[in-house]
Amino acid sequence: MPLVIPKGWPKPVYDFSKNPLTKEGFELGRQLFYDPILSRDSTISCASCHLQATGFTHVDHDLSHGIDDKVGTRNSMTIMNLAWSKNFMWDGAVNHLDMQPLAPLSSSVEMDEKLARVIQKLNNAKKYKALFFSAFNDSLATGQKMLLAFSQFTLHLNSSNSKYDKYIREEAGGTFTDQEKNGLQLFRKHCASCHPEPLFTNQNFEKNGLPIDPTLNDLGRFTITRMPVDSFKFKVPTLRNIQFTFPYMHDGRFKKLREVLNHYTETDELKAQIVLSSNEKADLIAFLLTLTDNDFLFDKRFGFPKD
Amino acid sequence: MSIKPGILLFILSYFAYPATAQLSILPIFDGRPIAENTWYVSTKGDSVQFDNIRFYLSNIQFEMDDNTWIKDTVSAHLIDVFEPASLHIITQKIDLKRLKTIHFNLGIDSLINVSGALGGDLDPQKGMYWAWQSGYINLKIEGRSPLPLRIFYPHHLCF
Repeated sequence: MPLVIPKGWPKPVYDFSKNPLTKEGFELGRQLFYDPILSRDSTISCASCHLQATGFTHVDHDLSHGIDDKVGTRNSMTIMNLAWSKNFMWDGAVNHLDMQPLAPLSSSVEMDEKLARVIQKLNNAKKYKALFFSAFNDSLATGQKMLLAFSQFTLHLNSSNSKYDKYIREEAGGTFTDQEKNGLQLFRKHCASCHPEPLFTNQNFEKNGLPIDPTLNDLGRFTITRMPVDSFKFKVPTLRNIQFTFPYMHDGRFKKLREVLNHYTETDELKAQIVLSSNEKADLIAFLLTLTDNDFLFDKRFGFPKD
Repeated sequence: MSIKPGILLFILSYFAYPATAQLSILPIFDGRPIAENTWYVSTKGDSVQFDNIRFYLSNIQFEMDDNTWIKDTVSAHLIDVFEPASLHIITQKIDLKRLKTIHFNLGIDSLINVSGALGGDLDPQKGMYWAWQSGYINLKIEGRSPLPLRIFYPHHLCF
């Protein structure tokens, strides 16, 4: 089941030659994604904070919570179009998609489990023996195989069938209203330098003028690079399915898109001041809603695996 | 309590076998072989005991007398000082009479560090991978010292 690269999209970053996609690998990854066996006390699965219907993020939670109801310091990120992603996490701490699951797995406020113990649990589970065998022709679970299977699943979580995509491809269902067309023009003028089409992220780390939350003191990318220039910089997230990925920003401080736009027109810390009238904000939001991709949000292949 | 860099030494030696070369590692501290449950005195006069010493030897290459280089078929070996089997690395066939130099890295290079999920000794389940920030732990030293407090000290290094 090779990945279909949407027309006009760049070449994926992920090296598929090292992890050829198979139906069986995808299925193993999907089972792992929805299984709380990954956490210390079998209470938290990946899906606890990454729900499909909301673009695989934790809806309604500014800061995501994990094991023992412990609260983290950031809003969980969305999971989509990761084959094109050059780095992962709000601060880019993770350098390869394969290694991403290790972070929540071992975080003391998320799953708080050791990889070696997870592998032990998987090897003791009859269900996984069969799944690993069908995916890798070897029933023994290892860290490498588990991580490759996770990538097999997440690499398929691709969103490219929104109303916006149909508009660009001039397909049925892609007719924009005048308001949406105006919103797209405004978007291209004011937002596209950081959120360029078609991925709606430039994949960089940017400082967007948010005042620091003194209870979190999150320095963002600086935490990883230790370079002062990276202070308060966070990864530019994709805007696809933004209608459902609220709350917004790395700490989920904004609940509504209008609040996000108000921040961008009020801050004086951007390279160029963004000026938008109230009507223009409404148009811009109308455009952002065209990025909703129901085919992706309700694709049964990505949902909880019912036996 | 700090361990002065350089006091942990590794002796590399090799023995001729009909088909393969064996690289043996003898970890020593202050001239004495490192053993479990044994007290050593550091150059600063602190008593130290080691519970866990693990590190990677990677990119082993044999430079021959005709200036050709022969690469080890395994990219990295995880050495556990208290796992005797890991202290002997069997490599491919080498003509020892023509061997000039052995080259190796202590730790993992930047290329392997960005290569995604790897297996064998590089499988993250070996406990030599940092989860919160991508990258291998090159060298891990854990142990204890009675002075000034009875503390457990882990030193995990990357470059």
